[in-house]
Amino acid sequence: MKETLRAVHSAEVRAFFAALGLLPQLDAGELRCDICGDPIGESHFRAAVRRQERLLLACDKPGCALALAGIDIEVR
Amino acid sequence: MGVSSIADLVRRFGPWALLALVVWYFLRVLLDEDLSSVWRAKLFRAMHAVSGRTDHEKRYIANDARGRLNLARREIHFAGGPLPRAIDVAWVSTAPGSTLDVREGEFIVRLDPAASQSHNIALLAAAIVRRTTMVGIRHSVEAPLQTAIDLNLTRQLLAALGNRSVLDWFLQAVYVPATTGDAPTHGRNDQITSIDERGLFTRLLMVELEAFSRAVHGLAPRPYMAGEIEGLVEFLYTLCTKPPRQKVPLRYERAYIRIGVIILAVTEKFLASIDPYVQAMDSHLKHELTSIYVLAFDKDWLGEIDPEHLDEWTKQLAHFEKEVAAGTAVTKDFDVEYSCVDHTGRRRRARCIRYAAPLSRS
Repeated sequence: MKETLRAVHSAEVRAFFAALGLLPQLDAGELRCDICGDPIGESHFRAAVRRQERLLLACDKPGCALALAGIDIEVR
Repeated sequence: MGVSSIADLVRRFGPWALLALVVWYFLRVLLDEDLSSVWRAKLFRAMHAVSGRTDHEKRYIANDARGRLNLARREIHFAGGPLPRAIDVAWVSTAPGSTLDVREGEFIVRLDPAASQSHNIALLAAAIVRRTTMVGIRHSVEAPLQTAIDLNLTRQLLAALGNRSVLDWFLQAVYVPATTGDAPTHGRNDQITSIDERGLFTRLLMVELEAFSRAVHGLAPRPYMAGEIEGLVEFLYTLCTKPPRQKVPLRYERAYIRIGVIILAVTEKFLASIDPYVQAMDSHLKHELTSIYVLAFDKDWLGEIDPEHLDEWTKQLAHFEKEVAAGTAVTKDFDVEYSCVDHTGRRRRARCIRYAAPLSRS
């Protein structure tokens, strides 16, 4: 059995946020890393996971993305 | 297969042997999903170099990461399924005007351009380890121990890739900062590293954690679960750091994790008689343990000093295995040879045999 990880290419981050309906918030600098609290811009976004209706985001610090990778494990 | 072996083959069987070899390799690639991914990645990398198209680059990144990580995973996957699951990488559709629905629990990661593929692979390896190991028991594993286990398993997976730039990036950017940040994580990482140096991290600790995860599946988290896991780590750490001939507990008995260890290390004792070791197996079984590990440390040095004794050692080990198979109700679960570092820092070969006891709950 395989674990599928979905990925977004770094050149398509804007299109990704547009598809999520979050482009205005991204452009306004309103998005923050749910792990460290730093602002997330187009070049700082690293990972996202949905947990209990909320879309959690992580910036590109390695520790933040990995912490986010583990966050949903408890609710699966 | 080396060039000299191929030359020998052609000399003995003629040029058709070369053709047969090529056909054999081609079939092997076709039938092996992960090897096929690696070759597809090479193709798309070349196509991307010519065309510069992002779709070619994306197919290279996904195929390369999938193929290489899954091949590396096989290297450390010797005993069924305790280690990270196989990975697949699927690109999110970002066509203009499309909407994207992220499902509950779904993890989406940004991957960098092909030039930074080392980062991509290291990140995916760490994510797959975090998401597919210790599932169901993470709530019972304290955060510093989780970090130490995750990072060391990722390190092993990346080491099995055989690509030093990937491992270097991971060690520098992730492993070292995470394991030196605070005292509890540093302490747990020291324990896991010591257990790993003796070869018992993936061959014993992770195997037992996976068995524990299956045993407690569906139960509400209780404090004793955390105690069982932390106690097992302490037990193995004591075992792995003990000086030679010092007596330490060889049995770990809790509600779910119940294991015994038999160490074959003292040459003269083992060559004199296998009886104490067979008795140890019987004694472990009387304590209703679920699994018993036999750890044998290689006697290469004995071969250098006294080849006759080396031969005796090998025969004695085979005799012990026969005696256990005939005289007890245990079943051999796996038997792996590996190399490890001993207490003096010297690299040695070792062998780990796991026996499952009757009515084993694992």
